[in-house]
Amino acid sequence: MTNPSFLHLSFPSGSAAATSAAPVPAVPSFTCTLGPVVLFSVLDHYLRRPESQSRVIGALLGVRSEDGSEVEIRNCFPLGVSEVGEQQVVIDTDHLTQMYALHQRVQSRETIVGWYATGQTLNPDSVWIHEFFANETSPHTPVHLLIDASLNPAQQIASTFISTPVGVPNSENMGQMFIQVPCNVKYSAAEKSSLDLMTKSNDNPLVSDMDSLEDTVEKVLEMVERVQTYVDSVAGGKEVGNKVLGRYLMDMVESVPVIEPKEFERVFNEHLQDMLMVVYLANLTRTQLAIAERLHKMV
Amino acid sequence: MSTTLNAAAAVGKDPADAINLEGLDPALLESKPLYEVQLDALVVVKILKHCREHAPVIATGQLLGIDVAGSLEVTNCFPFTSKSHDDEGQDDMDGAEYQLQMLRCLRKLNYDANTVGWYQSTHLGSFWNQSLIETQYNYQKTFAQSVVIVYDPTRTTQGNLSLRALRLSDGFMDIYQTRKFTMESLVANKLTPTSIFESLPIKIHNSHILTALLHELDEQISLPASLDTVFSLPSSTFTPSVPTDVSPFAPNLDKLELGSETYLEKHLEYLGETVEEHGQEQWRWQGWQRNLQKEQQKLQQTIAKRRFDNQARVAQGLDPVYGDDELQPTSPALTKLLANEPSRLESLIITNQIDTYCKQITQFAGPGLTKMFLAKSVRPEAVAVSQQ
Repeated sequence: MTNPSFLHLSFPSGSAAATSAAPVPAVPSFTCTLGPVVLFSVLDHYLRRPESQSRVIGALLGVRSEDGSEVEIRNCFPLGVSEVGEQQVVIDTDHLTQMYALHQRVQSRETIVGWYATGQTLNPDSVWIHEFFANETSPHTPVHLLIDASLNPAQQIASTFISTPVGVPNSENMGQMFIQVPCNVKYSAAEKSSLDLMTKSNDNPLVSDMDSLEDTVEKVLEMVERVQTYVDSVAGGKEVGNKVLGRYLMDMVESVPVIEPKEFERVFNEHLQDMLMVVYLANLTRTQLAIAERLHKMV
Repeated sequence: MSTTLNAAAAVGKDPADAINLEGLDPALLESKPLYEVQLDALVVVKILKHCREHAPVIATGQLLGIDVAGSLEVTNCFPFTSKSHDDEGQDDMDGAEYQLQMLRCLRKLNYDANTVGWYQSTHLGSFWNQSLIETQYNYQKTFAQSVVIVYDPTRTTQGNLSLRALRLSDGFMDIYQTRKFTMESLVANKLTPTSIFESLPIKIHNSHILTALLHELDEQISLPASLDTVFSLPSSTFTPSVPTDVSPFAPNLDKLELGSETYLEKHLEYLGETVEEHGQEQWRWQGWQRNLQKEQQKLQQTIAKRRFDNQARVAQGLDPVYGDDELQPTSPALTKLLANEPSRLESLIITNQIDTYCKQITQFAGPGLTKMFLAKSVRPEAVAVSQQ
């Protein structure tokens, strides 16, 4: 059983009741989206695991689309688990129900949609845990998120699986098969703003708006220069041009709106005046306040 | 093979009892005044998520972590239940019970369960109010080293993360305890609007594994498997704007957004409202001041008259009519008026609010102007016109 594989047939001794509950999902159209908060939490949980534990698991919270074919994994919480010996998994169910109730109080729209584990491949125990979560998420199939905490560059960081029954219908030996489903990481605008900052280096202080703009402009300039060198070398015949890339660049250039120079000048000046006016007003208000403050003390 | 789904025993023993502090640098265990706040990246994304989902309602939550030699390390957080939930009447436990349970659950799994403050979302920096101060006062009373993190989603969508860490100053804590916000006590304690809060610098800390993950994610986005698969769409259907979920983290092109009207308009609107409030507050205080002066004048006139009467009586060789205590410049009406000085707290708060708005406008205008000139300089025809 140590050799991991995607296919797991249940043994006659296993309970067959759980397998018949889940309806067959429309596999090809099943997609998952993942919030960065889930990735961050799982890694944090992984760092906090007890020394003896090789992997961590937890529950995934999220929202399903009405037909159940899309799952948005929005949140997660860790679960205490001990894998005693080879084939025994002990899940702290009290903790699960309690944490779920607590999360429900804050965000009642998010329900349990599955579970996560760290590791590179599916593990024989995964089948049993998956079956357990099938009870929690029924009538839908649970989603299993596997996160590679070793961050092996050759592997996907996050892969999602759903299960589907396999074997002779209505027989005792019905099994479950894991099928990998596509998974996208989705960032909101606010998250993008902060991820940009986080990737820069470790322990970075927040920067002012001006500095961050400077950074961005410098990076964009760099990109423009790179494109320019490429175009120049193609135009000079030093390199064979890529047609697709050329068309892409063409579209890019065409997307710049054409504005009459005079019109542009007018709009520009109007904006400039508005902006300066507002700044002037703001500074005036601050000065007034400072004066009022001083006068008050003299009274 | 069998799966044992075991109902675990009740909450474990307090792990704090078991912590061995030997071998640790004693300097790390001392409480020093805070000089910075270090937020884990996890905390930042959790706050972002919670506040985004609860917008436009203000969301609050608890920060967990520890302070190490003056640096407050926030390693985790959890959201508070929103008020609308309590109104539904479905919950049988209150907020305090919820927090306790949450802490217990987190502690069981080796998470930090030490409260170090709370966070709050705000809209365009309009966070100055009595309840913020009251809550922070209570926090600092119970946990001396706690901060409030104020997150502004509206400003963050402009492309730069907007977080502030605030603490009430010691001087303000002393006055707030007495709740005496008279002009006199403010002057005596040298309290100005800017010295109510002290602002701490924020650092974002990533664990190494997280840094690795971020770089890997970034790389996956910026280096697609093969160029052709990305660009193979026919030109006509190709949308020039790259979808947000596949562009790399840096540079964040949201920062180059030119539209500024709505942002500034909202700011001016709020600023106008606050200035009006400030005027009203000022009016109230001035009214009180006028009453006070009137009362004082009346009293002085009475006393002068009594003195005159006394002198007249003495000149006639008679005993004075009024005793010494009747010549003191106090009266019940005056003491009552003095005790009823309107609290200056509200005015202090409003001043801070106006100051925040003004600073935000100037902070926004700098990059805004830069962006405008940037846009101008990439339009050769516009440059040509201006040079003519």
